[in-house]
Amino acid sequence: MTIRFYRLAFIFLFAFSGLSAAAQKPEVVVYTSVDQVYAEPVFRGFEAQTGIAVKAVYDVEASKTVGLEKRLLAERQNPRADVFWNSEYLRTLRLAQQQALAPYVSPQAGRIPAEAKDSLGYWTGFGARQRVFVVNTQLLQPEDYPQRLADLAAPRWKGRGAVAKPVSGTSSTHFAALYARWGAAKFSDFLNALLANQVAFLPGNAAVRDAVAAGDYAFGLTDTDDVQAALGRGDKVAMVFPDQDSDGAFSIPFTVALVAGGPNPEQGKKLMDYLLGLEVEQALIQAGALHGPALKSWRYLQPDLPEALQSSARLIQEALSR
Amino acid sequence: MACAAMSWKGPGLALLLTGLSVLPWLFTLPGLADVWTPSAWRLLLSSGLLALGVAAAALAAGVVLAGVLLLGRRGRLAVLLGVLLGAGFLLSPVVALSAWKAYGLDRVFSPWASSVLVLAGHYCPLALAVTLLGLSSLERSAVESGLIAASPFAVARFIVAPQMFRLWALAGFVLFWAAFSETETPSLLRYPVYGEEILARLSIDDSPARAAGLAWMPALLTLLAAPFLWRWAKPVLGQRRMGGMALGMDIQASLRQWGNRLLAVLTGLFALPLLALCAKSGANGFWGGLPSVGQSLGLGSLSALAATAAGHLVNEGLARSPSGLRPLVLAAFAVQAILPAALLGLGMAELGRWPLLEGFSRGDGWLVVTHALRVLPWLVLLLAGLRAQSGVDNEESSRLMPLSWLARQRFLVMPRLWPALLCAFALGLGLSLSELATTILVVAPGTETAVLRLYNLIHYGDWASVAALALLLAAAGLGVCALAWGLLWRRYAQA
Repeated sequence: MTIRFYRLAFIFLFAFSGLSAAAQKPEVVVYTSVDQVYAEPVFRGFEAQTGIAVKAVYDVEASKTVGLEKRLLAERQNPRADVFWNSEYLRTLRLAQQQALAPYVSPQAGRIPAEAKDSLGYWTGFGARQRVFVVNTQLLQPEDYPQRLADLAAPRWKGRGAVAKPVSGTSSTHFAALYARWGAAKFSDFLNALLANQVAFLPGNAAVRDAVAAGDYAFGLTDTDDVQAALGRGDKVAMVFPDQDSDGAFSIPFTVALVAGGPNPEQGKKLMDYLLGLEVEQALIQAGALHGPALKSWRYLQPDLPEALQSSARLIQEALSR
Repeated sequence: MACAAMSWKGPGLALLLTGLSVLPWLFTLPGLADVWTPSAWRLLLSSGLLALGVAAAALAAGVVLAGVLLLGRRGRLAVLLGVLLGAGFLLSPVVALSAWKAYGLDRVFSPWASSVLVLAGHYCPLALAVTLLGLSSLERSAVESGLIAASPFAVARFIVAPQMFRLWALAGFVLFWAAFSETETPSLLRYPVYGEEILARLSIDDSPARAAGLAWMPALLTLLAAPFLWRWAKPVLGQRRMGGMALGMDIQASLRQWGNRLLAVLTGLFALPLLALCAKSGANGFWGGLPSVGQSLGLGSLSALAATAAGHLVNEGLARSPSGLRPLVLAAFAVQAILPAALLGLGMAELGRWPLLEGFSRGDGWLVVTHALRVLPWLVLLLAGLRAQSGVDNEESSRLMPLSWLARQRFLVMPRLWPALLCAFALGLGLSLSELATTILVVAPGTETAVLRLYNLIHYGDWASVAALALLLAAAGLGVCALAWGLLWRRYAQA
C-alpha cells in the first residue's frame, strides 16, 4: 500500500515538473488584448520569419480588460511578459504612467505619425479601429440610418439604440475621450440624454453587435472589427461611420509596448519591430481587425486620458445606478 | 489508539489547509472603506434575488429529477439523462445561454427568469447528486416499513423529506453563492449583478483596493449571518446515520408508469441545448479545439483531483477536531466561495512573486493550484454535508480496530465515501473547466485552455466553432468522469 502511495506521488511530481518545464529555445512572451483570431496568424508569421517561439496570453472581452493590465501591474516587480500588444491605448498610457513599460523606439516607428506614438518611446500606436454604428438592415432602410453620435440621444431613436457599458474596453476609452474633450457638464448632459432616451447599456461591444443583428435594437455603437465579423458571418447588418459631416468617428489605434524588465528584451524588440511593420498592418486590415484610414475620424491621445477615465467612470456609475 | 494519535493532527491539518487556502485572499483585504453606497446595496439585492431564484429552482429540479429517476425504470433513458445533465454541468453557462437564445427563449422570459432558468439548468445536477447521495444513506428499514402502511408520497413527505431537509438547506446555501458569483450569464441577459460592478471597478481604478472592498462586502454580511446559518447546518453535519439503500424501494405500477413518462419528457428537455449545439457545430471547430480541450482536461482533472484530496483532508481533520473548530473552518471556506475569482487571481499573481514560488508560478502547475484553490471551498462544504450523511465518522469498527490512517482510508472511508468524492471531483472538474477570471490572470504564456478559446470565439461570433468546442469539451469531461466512476466502482462497489 505504502509503495503504491509513493509510486502515485512520484507520478504526480513527474507530471507537475513536466508541465512546468519550459522549452529551451529562443522565445518571446506577449500579452495581447487583440482578438486571438487576428493575433494568432501574426504570431505564426513572426515565428516562421525569425525562429523565435511566441508565447501569448490572450485577453477576453468577458474579463472587462481586467486581466492583462492588472496582471502586468501585479507582475511589475518580476515581469513575465516582454511585449504588451493592446487593442486600444488607454490602458497602455496607464501602464506607462505606472512604470510598467520600458522605452523602445522601433526603426519601424518612423512611418507612424508623431501623435500616434509616445515622445519618449514608451509605446507606439499603429493602425486604427473606429467607433461605428452597427445597423440592422432588416429594421432600417439606408436613408434612415443614424448618422451622428448624438442620434443615440435623439427622440426619434428612443429605446432603439444600444451601447456597451462604458466602463471597460474601447467604449470606456471612447467615453473618457468624450469627457476630456467636452468637460464634465456636457458629458453629464450627454449621459443623461442617453438614459432618458432608453439607450440599452449592454455588457460589451460583441453583445451590442449580436443584439442588433438579432433585431433587439435597430442600431448600436461598437467597433469596426465587431461589425466586420458580423458581416463576415452573413448577419443582416451594415456599418455606419458617424459624424462624417463634423469631427468624424472616434478612432482607436492598436498600441504596442516593451514591458519593463521583461525576461527576453531583445526578442521583445524584434517582435515589436515585426508588429509595427506595414505588412502586419495591411494583413490586419485585410482580416478585418483594423480599418483602413479612408474615412474622417478623430482621436485623443493626450496624457490626461487616464484621469478622464476615472472622472467619466464616476459619472457613468452614478448615472447608471440612478 | 490510531484515533488518539490523530487527535492533534486532525485540527492541525484542517487549520493548515484552511490557512493556505485563505492566504491569497489576504492581499485583497485593504480597501474596505467607501464601498457601502446605495448602488452597491441595490446590486447586492439584485444578485441576491437572482441567487435565491437559482438555488430554489436548481434544488426543486434536483428533487424532481431524483424522484423521477427513482420512480421510473432505471434503464438506458436514465443513463442518457445523466449524460445530458453531466454534459450541461461541464460546460460554461454561457454556452447554455447561446442555446437558450438560439431557441428565442430570451424574448419569452424576463432577464431575471432567463438567468434563473439557465443557471438552474447548469447547477441542478449538483442538487440531484446531493439528493441521490442523501437518499442512498437513509435508513432503509424506516422507508420500507413506511411503504407497507402508506403511499410513496406520504413516505416521501413524512419520512424522507424531514431527514433530507437540512441537507437540502446546505446544498441550497452552496448553490446560492455559486449563482451569486455568476457574472457573464446574467449580464449578457441584461440583468444587473454585483459581480459585474466589481469587474467594472477593477477595470477603472488604478488599484484593485476599491473593487476588493466591494467584494468583501457580501462576505462580511455572510459572516454576520454565520451563527444563524450554523444553526441550520449543524444538525446535518452532526447527523448519525446507520446507512443503507433506500433506492430499491418497491414502487407501485401506476407510479412507475408516470415516472417513465416524466423521465422521457425530462430527457427530451435536457437534450435541447445539446441538440442546438449539434445543429450549429462545424467540423473545423472540432479539430481546432482539440489541443485546448486536451490541455484543459489535463489541468482541470489535476485541479479537481488536488481539490478533492484537499477537501477530503480538511474534512478528515475536522472529524478529529473539537466541535468548536468546525464552524470556524467552514465559515472560512464559505467566505472564500463568496469572494470573486478575479481577486483570487490577483492574489495568486502577487503570491507568485515570492522567491520560493517564483519558478513554480511560471508554469502550468500554478494554474492547477489556482483552480484547485478556487474550487476547494465548494468541495469542502459539499463533502462536509455528504460525509455527515454517510455516517462514516460514526463507524464502530473504526473505534474498535487499531488501523493506521492509510488503512482506515482504504478499508473504511473510501468504500463509504467514494460516491461523495466522485461527486466532488465532478463538481471540481466542471468548475475548473469553466473558470475564466483566474485563468486570464495566472495562465502560463503559450498555454491555451478551452475556456479562453471558447470566450474568444464567442466574442468573434464564430458559433459553429463554439458549438463544436463545447461538444468536444463536454464529451471529454464526461469521459474523464466515466473513467473515474468505472475505476472506483470496480474497486469499491463490486468488491
